[in-house]
Formats: sequence, structure tokens, C-alpha cells
Amino acid sequence: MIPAFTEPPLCHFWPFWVLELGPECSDIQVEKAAREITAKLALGVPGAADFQAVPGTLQRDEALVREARNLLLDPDQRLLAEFWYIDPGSRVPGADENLSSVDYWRQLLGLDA
Amino acid sequence: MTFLVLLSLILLLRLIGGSGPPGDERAVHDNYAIGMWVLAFVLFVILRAFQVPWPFIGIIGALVFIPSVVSLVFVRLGWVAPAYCLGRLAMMYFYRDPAAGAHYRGFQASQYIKDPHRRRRALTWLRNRFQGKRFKIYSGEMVMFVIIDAHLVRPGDEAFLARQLRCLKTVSKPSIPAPVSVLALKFALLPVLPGWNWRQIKSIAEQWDTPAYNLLAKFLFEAAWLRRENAPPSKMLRFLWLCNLRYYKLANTAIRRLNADDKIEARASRDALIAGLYTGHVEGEESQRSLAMRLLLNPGQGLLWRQRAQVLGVPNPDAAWQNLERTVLAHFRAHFRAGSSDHALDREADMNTWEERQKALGYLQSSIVTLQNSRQKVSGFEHFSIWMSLLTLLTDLKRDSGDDVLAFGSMSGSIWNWIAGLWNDHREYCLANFMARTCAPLARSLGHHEMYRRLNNDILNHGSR
Repeated sequence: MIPAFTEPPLCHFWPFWVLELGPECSDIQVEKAAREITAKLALGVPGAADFQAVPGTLQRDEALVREARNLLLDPDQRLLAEFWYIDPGSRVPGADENLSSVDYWRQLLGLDA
Repeated sequence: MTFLVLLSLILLLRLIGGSGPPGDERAVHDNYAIGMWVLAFVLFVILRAFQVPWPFIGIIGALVFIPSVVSLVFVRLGWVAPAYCLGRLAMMYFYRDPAAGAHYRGFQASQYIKDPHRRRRALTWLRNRFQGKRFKIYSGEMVMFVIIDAHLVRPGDEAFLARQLRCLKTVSKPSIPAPVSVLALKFALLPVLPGWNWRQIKSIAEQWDTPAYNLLAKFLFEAAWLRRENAPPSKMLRFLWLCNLRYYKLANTAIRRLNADDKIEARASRDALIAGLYTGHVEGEESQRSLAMRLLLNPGQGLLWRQRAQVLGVPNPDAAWQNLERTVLAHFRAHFRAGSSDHALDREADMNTWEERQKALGYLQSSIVTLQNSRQKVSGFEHFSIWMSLLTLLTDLKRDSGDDVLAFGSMSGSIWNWIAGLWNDHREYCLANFMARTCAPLARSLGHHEMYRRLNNDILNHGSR
């Protein structure tokens, strides 16, 4: 596991992010995604190592993909990952993008001259 | 002609000097407004008598009769002083409180100044206008004072301004002009709108739904009420939407959110909460904790996840759900413990804050005594300024440690004497009423029945001031 998933206590959802899948995916899709990403990593396809997460773009390797696949195929771990799953593009309260939306509202309410 | 001028001046001075009965907080301003209209009429007669050309009379007439419109020119130019003076003359537009209207126009003009130093100077000039004020202080001016003061003390801090405006919850509403009420509503809403919390929006809209027809507040209140009742958009909401065409983007967003699917909304708040936990952006407040528990561990969720566990082939679904519950509790315990351990490490800083607050309380208490013993006439805004500092301190104490009642208890005697002095000696009815409305619940919760009874009988039951 990479530090981004071990340092915060909440990290059960990460296998979905690594394999770029949603919680509704089947076991076959998990296998297929893991195979495809591993192949791309082995061939050195540009951008294959990048994946989206809430803090931003993170890097993956073959070991991480393998670990993610194993976790999603274990029913108990899969349930845990599904329960905590959030979309990697979720809005983070207090992040910078919110500040810009305050500016947006300020403009919209006519508080900016 | 000389007789007419003298007569009007005498009439004007009498009207300005005379204070209205205690029950009518706008009496002085109304008299002032009548006086200004009399003066305008006399001026017109004089100008005609001297056969002054019509265009010149037209310019003077526009300045005197439609100052609220002319002042907008100076607002656009960023000329604070002329905008302020013309706002002061706009008796019809700001008839509830022309002095607040003057500050409103001055503030509007200051927002068109690009240079921050010049803007600051303009705001300081505006705030100084409060100090030399000879009339009594009314609610509209209190609101403008808070807005201008917050822009000077903490420029760009929307949350601080919104907190300060929340402190004015018990202020008397009838003398707040509609534009001032709308401005306060906008500033109060600003930190809430990005998260679009219906409960908070309803509470803010309710606070600023003043008798002066704040239609934006009425619209938001109606929308929030419909949302709570799970009702479709009403005819009243559509009518209010039409009235708020100027803010159609905000109104459209409100209507879209009104119709938004509950499940999608709940999913969005759940995702935002988990994302906040993951990145450490969730405040360690009890309300957040209860929200989290409600979203993640409600009975519906229990049933749903047990079924899902069965589908996935988990041997014991009940045990799996218990495991999920354990992880939620463990995460929250870890998150909130992390927050509290930070506080523990920072105990020295907490101690310093506590000492600073005690010092501030002591300082405010001595300021109150000095104000009461002062032989010179003290402006109502000096009283209001100290009252706001005390209110902010009590709010901070309530938020951090729940010590507001104790702090209030230690100085309730001084506060009662202060309110009584303002009512009896200074005749600051509006300010005393605002203070009494804030203090009455605190006095009751402290068990100060005598103070509670006096606040109710001697001040609050004297009519709406």
C-alpha cells in the first residue's frame, strides 16, 4: 500500500480507485481491469501509472494493482471497500475549490463591485 | 420671504430636537424627514422668487427629492462622502432609518474603490461617522456598524462577518431598511451557500425576514420550508421567484436543489463527509459526529449492507455489519481523538486563550463601569461597540467551553445596571431592548429570576422598540 492510503485512518476504498472501477463492478471486471492495467504498466504506456484519487493524481505499480485485485475478490474486504467507497472526484469540504465557490457566490449576489 | 425662511428653520430645529415617545423608535427620524421636506419646499419657493433658471432648480430638485437615485451616481464613482450625504437625504427610500441608509450608500461606494488603502480609509471615515452621531442608535445602524466594522477589522473574512451578524438575532427589526436587510442577508449567506445547508439557510432567512419586505429572505425561507415539508414549489414561491429576478441564478439554484432527489443529496453529503474525514477537513464538532452516525449507521443502511453481504457471499452478514459499525466508530474515534490530542499538546495555547478571555472580560467589565460613571455624553455607538465585544466573547465561550452562562453570571449585575442606565438616562430604547432580549434567556438559564422578571417587565413589555 502507498503512504497516501496508510497514513490517514480511512483507506478501505482505495482498491476501487487503483483499478478505476466503481462499487457495482463484478469479479470478472475486477480481473479484467487488473490484467489490463498490469499489461499497460509492463509495456510502459504513458499515463498508465497515474490514477485519480480525492487528494489528486497518484501513482500505482504492479504490486499495488495485484493487492487491489486480491482485496476486491475477498468478500469481506470487498464489502468494506464498497461501504466506504467515494468517487475519486468527490468535493472535499474546506479544499481550495470551495474558496473559489465563495467567490462565485459573492459575485452572484452582487457583493463584488 | 425672510419670515418664511425663519419659520421653516424654527420648525426644522424643533422637529430635529424633539424626541419621540419611548414607544416609537423612528419618531426622531420621521420628524427629521418631515423637516427636510419642509426645507426643500421653502427652498423651491425662494428659488422661484429669485427667478432662478429651471435647469438649476431641476438639479437642486433632483438632489433634494430623489437623492437615493442621484446617490447611485456617486456610488458608481466610488465617492463615499457624497454618496453618504445623499443617502442621508433619501428619506423616502430609507424611511425606516435614513442614517443607516447613508451608511449603506457610503459602504456601497467604498466597494467600488479598487485601491485597498483608499477603501480602508473610506471605511474608517464611515465608521467615524458613527462616533459623532447625535441621534439615538437604531437597528439599521447597528447592522451597518457591524458590516463596516468587520470589513475594517477582518477584511475578506466572510465567516467572521456572518458570525457577527448572527449575534444580531435579537435586534428589533422594524427600523431596518430593506436594502440594509438584504445586504446583511447576503453577507450572512455567503459562507453557507457553497455547502447549501437548507437548515442554516432557513435560519438565516428567518433572521433577515424583516418587516421592510426583504423579498430574497422571503423567497429562501419559503423554499427552505417547502423543502422541509417535502412539498412541490408553491404559487407563492413562483411569485417570490419573479420578485427576485435580479438574483435569478441563486433562485434557480434554490429551486433545483428543492427538487433534488433526497437519495442523491444524501449520497453527496455522505461522500463529502467521508472525503472530509479522509483529508482531515471535518471539524470535530458534535453536530458533525451525529450527522456522520446518521448517514452511515442508520437502520436502513444496516439492512442494505446485510443484503449486500449476502450477495457477495460473506458467510455471516450480521457479523459483517457489526464489523462495518466497528470500523465507523474506530475511524471517528481516531479522528476526534487526533483532534483532541492536538488540543492536549496545545494546552498551553488553550490556557493562554482562557487567560486572554478572562482579561478581556475584566476589561469589558471595567469599560462598562467607566461608561456608566462617565459625566460626559457618550455616543450610543460606544455602548453598542462594547456590547458587541461582550456578545462575541460570550459566543466564543459558548462555542469552545459552554462557559458563557458562567461568564454572564459573574457580570449580570453590571449588565443590568448598564441596560437600566441606557433605558432611563440615555433613552437608548432600541439598544437597551436588543440587550435585554439577549440577556433574558441567559438570566433565566442562570436562575436569576429577579433580573429576568425586571428585563421582561421594565424593558421588553414596554412595546416593540
